[in-house]
Amino acid sequence: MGTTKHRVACLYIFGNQKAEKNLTALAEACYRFTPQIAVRTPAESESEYAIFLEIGACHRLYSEELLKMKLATLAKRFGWLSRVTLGDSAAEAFALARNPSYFYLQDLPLSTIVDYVTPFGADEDLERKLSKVIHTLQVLGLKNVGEFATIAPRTLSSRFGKEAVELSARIRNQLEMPWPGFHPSLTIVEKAPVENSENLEALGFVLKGLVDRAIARLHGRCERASIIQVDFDLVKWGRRPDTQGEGQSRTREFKLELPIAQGSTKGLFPIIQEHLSRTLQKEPLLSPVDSIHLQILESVPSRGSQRDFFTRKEEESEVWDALVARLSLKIGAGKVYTAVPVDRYLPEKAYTRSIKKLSDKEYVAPSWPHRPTRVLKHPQPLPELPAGQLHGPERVSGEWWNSQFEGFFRDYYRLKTMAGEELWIFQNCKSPTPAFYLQGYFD
Amino acid sequence: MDFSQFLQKKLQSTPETLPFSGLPGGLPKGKLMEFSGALGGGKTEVLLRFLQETPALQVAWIEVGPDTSCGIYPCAFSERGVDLSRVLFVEPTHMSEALWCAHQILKSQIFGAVILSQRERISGSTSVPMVIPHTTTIVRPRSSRSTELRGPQSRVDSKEFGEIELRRLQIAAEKSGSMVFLLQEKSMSAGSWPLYMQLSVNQGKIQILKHRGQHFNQNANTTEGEWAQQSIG
Repeated sequence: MGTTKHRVACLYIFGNQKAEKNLTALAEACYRFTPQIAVRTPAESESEYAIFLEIGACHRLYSEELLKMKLATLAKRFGWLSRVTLGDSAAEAFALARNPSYFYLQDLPLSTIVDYVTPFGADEDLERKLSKVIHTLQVLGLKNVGEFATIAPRTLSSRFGKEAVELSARIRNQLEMPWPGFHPSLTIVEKAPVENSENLEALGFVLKGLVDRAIARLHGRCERASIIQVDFDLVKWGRRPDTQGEGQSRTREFKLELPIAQGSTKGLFPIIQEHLSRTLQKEPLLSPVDSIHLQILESVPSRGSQRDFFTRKEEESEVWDALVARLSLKIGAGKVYTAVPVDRYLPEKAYTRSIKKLSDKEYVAPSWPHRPTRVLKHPQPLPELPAGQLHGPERVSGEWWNSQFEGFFRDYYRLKTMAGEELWIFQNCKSPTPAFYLQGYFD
Repeated sequence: MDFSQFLQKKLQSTPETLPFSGLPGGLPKGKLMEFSGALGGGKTEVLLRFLQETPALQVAWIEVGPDTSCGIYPCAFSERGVDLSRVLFVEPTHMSEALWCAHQILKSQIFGAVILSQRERISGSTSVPMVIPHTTTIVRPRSSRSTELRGPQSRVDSKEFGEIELRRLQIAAEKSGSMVFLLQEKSMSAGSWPLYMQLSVNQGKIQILKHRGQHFNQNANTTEGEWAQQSIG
């Protein structure tokens, strides 16, 4: 059995003072690349963070260059400045990330050995011990990590202590550090402060960033949002008649149940924007918005399909879902549908409405006799049979065996009137008087 | 090339067409077209035949009107060879909603054909006498403040396509490259200039009321106003 070569990408974040929680969100979004992820726990004084991705088994899915670009873009979406390096171990990738002026591990100065030993978290005691070893090595004339690696390991213990032995083994990739576990948060919540809340467009600008980040996290989990909530924290201003006291904290909540779960910013953002626009037109905000929270209350598994280079089906189904969700929210549920044939004999009930797009494989065309293009929802009784040519009858009856439905017994005719119209009429054979009804038109 | 030359070239350019056995010149892509005819005259049949002949086309069928009227019957699609899995049905109540839906659908660029159909009145157009259920709606007209009683024969949503709406639809159709069909009983006469083609269907026969393209004259001997003599159904 062949062993997989270790390859680790380090997403190194610098020049930022953001909360650690945001880093967890970014790590969560990185799940799309690999299931093995670790986050460096920084020291209190540090403002630099790192996320490690084990990509040894993913070389067939993407190239290293592509991964570098994708990770940098992802970090940018979360508002981080980043650098991506690759190495045969987490320690190597981290050491190279912290020292961007060096390309190869052998060239790294001895002082960077500390980074090499503590990639997953700062350890002050170990760093203190290592600083002594580094000082000794420098006194002996060693300049870089490559030179240290050439020293025979059996001589290290007696000369520099056990820390040097462990260090040498790690540099030679003979000792792999155990990866700390990473556990993503149970709920997806994104928050951002608002500076300008003059109009919906300004709020939308902030909201779009939140939606983008939430979708990136959902994408990492291979899920799509089905119920979301947007909360506006309002500035503590003035007095609101229905709340007690002045300056009370106020939050305006907008809960949105999506008819079709959404997995893209392009699909979700316009839905939220339209919902907010409709709601705020009815009931405007009483004070400026201080901050916005976006919470994914419920999610469903995503299709998880890779992009097909030869067809646009996946992209189209995303667009379809977004469109159907928007239309349904605007004009009402049940008014946007695809028709699915069902086994019912009653013509007006021979199909059901579905909100999902049927694939070509799922759809089986039924064999119906000739049917009109337009039907009345409720057949209209005809006081007298119009003059014209009658074709038929086609006897349709059934459903008497099912207590849920009323049984029926109809004789259908195709009637061409003198005016040239083609009607679909039926005679109700169950009725004591042979009444005719208009069912539809061959329009 | 100056602007007048550009404009002339633009006007003379032949749009890409999809073949249709009912019309020798085919139907142009990215244009606004009207199919008119009385209820039961066969205009929907003609359109379904075109959809059956172009199986790659994704279709959005927008039915405008009250829920109680005579609406499209999806089973007829399947029976006429139009795969129901490629048809999205949208049923807005008002014309304004329908236009909004049409624009969103065109923007999505996944539908090759968008049909805007007004739900037919069940008694106004047909020669068939019927027992009308006694449901009346009270409508307050804008012009006067007096209350007027209307029976179910009158249109609940009386708004028709205006020139501005048609122009907007035309631009959206051109941008997306989708065909937009207006299905209605009466053909538009005034303000119908954004329409590329107007067809009238009576007893399954297609009459060309208007067409703006040169390709049609090149491909067919049929001229404006003549019967195409294509019997449908």
